[in-house]
Amino acid sequence: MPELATKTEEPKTPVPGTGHLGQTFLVGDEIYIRAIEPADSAYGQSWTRTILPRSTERYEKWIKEEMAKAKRQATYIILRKSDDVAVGSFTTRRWDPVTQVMPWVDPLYGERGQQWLAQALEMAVPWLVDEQQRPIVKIHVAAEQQAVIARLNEIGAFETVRFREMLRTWGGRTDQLLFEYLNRHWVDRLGDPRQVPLERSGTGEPRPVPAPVTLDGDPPANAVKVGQRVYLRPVEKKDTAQISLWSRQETETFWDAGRWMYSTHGYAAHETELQKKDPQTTVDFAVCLRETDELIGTMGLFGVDYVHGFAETGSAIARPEYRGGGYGSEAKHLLFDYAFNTLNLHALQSFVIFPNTRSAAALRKQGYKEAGRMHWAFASFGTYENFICFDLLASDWRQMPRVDFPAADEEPRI
Amino acid sequence: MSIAEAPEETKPAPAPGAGHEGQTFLVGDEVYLRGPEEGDAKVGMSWRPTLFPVAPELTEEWIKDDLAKDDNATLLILRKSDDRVVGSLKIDNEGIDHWLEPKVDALYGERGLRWKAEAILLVTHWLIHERGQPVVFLDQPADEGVVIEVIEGAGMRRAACFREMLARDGGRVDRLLYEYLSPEWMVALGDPNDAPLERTGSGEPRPVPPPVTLDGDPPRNAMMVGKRVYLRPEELSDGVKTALLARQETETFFDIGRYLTSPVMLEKWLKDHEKPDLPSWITFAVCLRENDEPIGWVALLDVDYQNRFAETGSFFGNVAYRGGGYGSEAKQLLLEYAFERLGLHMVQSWVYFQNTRSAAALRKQGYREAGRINWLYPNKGTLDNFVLFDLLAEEWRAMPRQEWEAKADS
Repeated sequence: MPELATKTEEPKTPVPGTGHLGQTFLVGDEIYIRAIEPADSAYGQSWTRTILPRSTERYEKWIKEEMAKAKRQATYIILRKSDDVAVGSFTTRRWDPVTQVMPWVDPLYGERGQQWLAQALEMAVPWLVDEQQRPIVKIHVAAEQQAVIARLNEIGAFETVRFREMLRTWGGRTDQLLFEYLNRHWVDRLGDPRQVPLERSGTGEPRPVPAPVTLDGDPPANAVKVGQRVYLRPVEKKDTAQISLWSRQETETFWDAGRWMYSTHGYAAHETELQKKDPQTTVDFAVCLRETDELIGTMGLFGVDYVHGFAETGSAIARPEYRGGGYGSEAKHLLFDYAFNTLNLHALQSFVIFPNTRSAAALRKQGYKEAGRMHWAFASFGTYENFICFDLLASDWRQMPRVDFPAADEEPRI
Repeated sequence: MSIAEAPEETKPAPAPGAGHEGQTFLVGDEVYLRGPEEGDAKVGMSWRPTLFPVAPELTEEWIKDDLAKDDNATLLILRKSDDRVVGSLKIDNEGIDHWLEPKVDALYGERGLRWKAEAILLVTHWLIHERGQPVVFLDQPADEGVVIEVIEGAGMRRAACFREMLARDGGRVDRLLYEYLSPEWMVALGDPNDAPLERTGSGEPRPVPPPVTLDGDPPRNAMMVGKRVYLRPEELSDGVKTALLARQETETFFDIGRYLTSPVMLEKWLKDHEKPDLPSWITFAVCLRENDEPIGWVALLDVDYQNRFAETGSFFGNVAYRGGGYGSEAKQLLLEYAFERLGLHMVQSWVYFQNTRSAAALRKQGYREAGRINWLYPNKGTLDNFVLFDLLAEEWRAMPRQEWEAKADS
């Protein structure tokens, strides 16, 4: 029986095409999959999921220092069997019960590359779920990857979310799809999550956007965006104490999986870290009342991707007396103004857990459209709970009608 | 009557509107300028040149650490009536030239633009007529009519227009370049606009080579592949070759004479630029497909991901591969990367006046003249100029695609 290719510490060059010999799994007709080795840095640009160039030396440093330290994350290399050239990769991120799979193949291989990637996923997805017994795998795919999509459908994965125009592709934009592959033992145990009904409240109709406010007097100190009743400003140190205190006084449990408790110092350290980045990839704002400058909540963009031009939005109105009454939605449109007009983002997305119908209703009113559902995201009351996904395009938001000041709401919203 | 004192000796707050009293210069009708103080951090979002929300605590640190170390002066713009900080003006000085980088809190609307214009004029007048400097430059968005009217009225001259450079509410806005030249220097050197720009070549754009379909495998680590050359990431080891080629340079016209570079410096330069998650400099080595030999580099400099523009630059250190269209082939691959993969809306380029060859190459590649920057560097007893170019993604997309005849370039 032939031996596995030796590690790169002893730099004898193995005979091309022998790299897979002796490997017992994840070996296909044309490609095979193995863990990263330092020598893979030579083809780093080919297999790394990026369109930004980095030197071989930088990839080597990433493999030895950063990748080696990464937790709950692994990158696997896709190699061509005939000559052991690395042509792509997939990265897995595990947060039980979910494993995210981010695949990539060098676009210069064209249709061949897509076939290799399809073959890699055909092996890797069942390996993760049926052999390693992970409950669910979510595969990130661009809508134009037809060969990959066809193969995923063949093996029993299914499309579950479509974020419109989220990705930049060669020459334009394309939708970002999420495919899911479920562990059949867990389906037997919990039932098919696709059958779980989504409860909706509210009309589901978008409401007009509050028109931009012309300030007669001066703007509030340090304000970034100003509306009729609320404004956004940076989160300050004193806010973190306030929000930590309010987190202890929370009465509602449905927003998330129960309440959360913040530490003043932890929160402040977190804010400092993200505010020191330039560009910021999490952009947090304090929401304040114009009348009194009181803080009522926070709102922000998460995972801002400046290459593709999208981000996730999130918000929390911490003061119960300002939930309902449209304060949250007014602030959210200021956040959209910031995201679309200041940062020039193309699209936004948002995720809401199934039981939180109130936030979902608010998102629909704000102009968000349903993009699909993400199943089995976390453990909750004897089952795994699902998310409903939303997206909003800058062009859609710009076309929504503007009104001077929205009438008070009949139902509470955030 | 005294200038308001530094906040270390905390005294009862000075009466609002008294902040400029006793100050002898940079005081206008509605605003005045002064250096930043720690307390200004409280309204950092009004004047700090950033798109992102930053807490006053961190802006205070930034004032004390970064701003204090900065060679360039940042002055704050305050409203005279109540000493409210409404903006800032950074003076970026590279020796001869002074670039003004004003920011006034957008929330003040039209009023803010008026204050911005006043601050620009105060500083320009001070630099030129008191400090005797030759030239002040200002990048000015074309949609701020209030500012344009005031600065043109005061004698600032429009020197260039970069089309559709800035993103605005889903649309695009031009960015104008204004110059204000010293009358004394004008007497000494003459009006730089009288210096004619020498042009060579036909000035006509050539078709773009059509995308190449690869029969075999792409070259190792290639990102963009043409018929004869490809682009790959620069490697630290490329620096040795680049430094050697610099020593063997025969031409002097690309820049103001030749340069010597150290491989150590080049390595540090690349390391620094590729470190950020979102690099603002994106450099590629240009390699020959037939033997993987690097012959030069092409780059996007100062990529602006919000406004989606960049400056392009290129250099072909290997003399044997100048002419023959290698450079233009590589540039077309860079443009395809910039427009079709990064999704940039436009690119700009700057060329030394005397470098007619690079200017001719840019015209062939589809760039259009955007204007000039006068008096940017000393050369042969005068201050010399740059010619500026821009190219929009949609223009590049509309250019015809056609195979090149071999050896068509000069």
